[in-house]
Amino acid sequence: MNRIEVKNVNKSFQGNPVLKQINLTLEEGKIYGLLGRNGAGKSTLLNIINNRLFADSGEVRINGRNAVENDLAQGNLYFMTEGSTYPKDMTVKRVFRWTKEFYGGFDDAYAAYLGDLFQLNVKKKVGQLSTGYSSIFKIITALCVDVPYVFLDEPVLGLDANHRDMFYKILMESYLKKPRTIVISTHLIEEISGLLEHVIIIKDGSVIRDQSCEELTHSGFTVSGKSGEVDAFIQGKEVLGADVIGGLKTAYVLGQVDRPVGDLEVSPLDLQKLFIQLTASPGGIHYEN
Amino acid sequence: MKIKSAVKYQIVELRYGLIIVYAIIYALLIFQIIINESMNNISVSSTEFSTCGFLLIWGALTMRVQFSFFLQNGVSRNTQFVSNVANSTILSVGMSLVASLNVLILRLICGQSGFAFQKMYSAFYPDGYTVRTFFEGLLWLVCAHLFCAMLGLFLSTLYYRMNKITKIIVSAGVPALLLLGLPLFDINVTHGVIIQSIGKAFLFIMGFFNGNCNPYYAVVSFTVLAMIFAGLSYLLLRRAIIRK
Repeated sequence: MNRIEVKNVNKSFQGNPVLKQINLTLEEGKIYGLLGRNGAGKSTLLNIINNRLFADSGEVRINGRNAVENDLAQGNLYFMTEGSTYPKDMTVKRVFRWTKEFYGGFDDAYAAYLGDLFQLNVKKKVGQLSTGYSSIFKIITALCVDVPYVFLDEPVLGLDANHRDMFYKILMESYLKKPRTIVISTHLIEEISGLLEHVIIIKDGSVIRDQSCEELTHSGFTVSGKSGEVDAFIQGKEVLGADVIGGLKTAYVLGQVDRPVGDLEVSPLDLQKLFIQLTASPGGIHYEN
Repeated sequence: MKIKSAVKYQIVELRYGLIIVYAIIYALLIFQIIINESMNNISVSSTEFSTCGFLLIWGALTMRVQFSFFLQNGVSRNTQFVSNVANSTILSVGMSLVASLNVLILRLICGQSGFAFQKMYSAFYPDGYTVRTFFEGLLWLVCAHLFCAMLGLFLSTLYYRMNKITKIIVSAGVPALLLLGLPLFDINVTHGVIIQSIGKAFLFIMGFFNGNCNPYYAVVSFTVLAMIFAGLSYLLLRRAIIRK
């Protein structure tokens, strides 16, 4: 079966460990969310998979081939980065042309359609594009290149709400038309959660969750109500965290509902809320002047 | 696998640079011919070494401009290196051939035009400009161009791998050392021995010694130096990482 395997990958920068014993598998034809706080190691991991950085130890295999310095393996991947890796004086049209040359397959018609949809001027040079349009041309390139694995690192950076909405619809449309593995690394969890099939959460360089989105959100529940009643309800349960406003409390609990809820409100775990609770720093927010 | 695309990219993207450099070269040649014809002076200086500078600059810009782009398109560092060497060789042969043919054309138009290579090694070519001179000059030019390209590539890769502080130290320190430190030291301490030795070594590498000359010394020197710089640039490139 085709897949990307990351085995025991470690990476440090100037003595600081950024990735610690990362083990994960990216199966074919799934949409993954790679989530983590700033500095968690998401981009480092993506850069290692895509041969931009070298792991200190461990290995990455793409369809059974070693990923490092391997044109055949890397020819299966397209990585849309946050920054720009294209020459500033290259036009968008030439970016498409050369992507087609290097990857052997590029849907020109679909690129033209998406360009019109986003009102992207393909004759403009890469260096002249705004932050939003820089993301747009990279998104179009990523969706039109013919590869089985696409990595999108902060794809909606600089996009306005309308363009973000268009992107999510186009992503789904493109995926349904041509199923492939898409890995999205983003901070906008609430917006993307509906698209994700599988979620990988990285915290402080380690993978803390690697599950299907459904399993993750059904691994617990949210209970809301009066503080006293909620406290009584969650007695003896594994509580991820809680929010308190006035006399009302919302608790995020792992496990299943196994007792009468009474007047309390119970709902599935929200992915963003779950992410926040799982990756929260100890101590919370507490400012003293 | 991507080597063909990488070489194609490098050559296609260089087209404007090549057009500009040859437009300047031919403009200068035509200008010289017009001036010399109008003054009944039939000697015209050829420009066969001018494209060496172009290749040095090309090599020096390669890493900064192309490294990220190639990685973005799944081209490994090994393939990038092979592409750089292949492209350098193609350009060296092509540009040397054009330069040598320019000399032939000049000789047809202007008669006894200057062929810098021939003038440099006049003692080696007592019969003047012959078929042998043409081909040995071509070989000399190819090796000189290749050396310049590999030197540029090495410098480009070296700078890419350096951090900011090292770049400043090297950029300011090396010229200061060579232009100030070394001459001052040589004048006051070694009384000119170092610079004289460097001069003699340079002349020997170029094939000038004991009143004789031999262009094949330079051919071998350029080739060996090109291989050394190519090897060094590969060692630097193989662990280069993408930068923000």
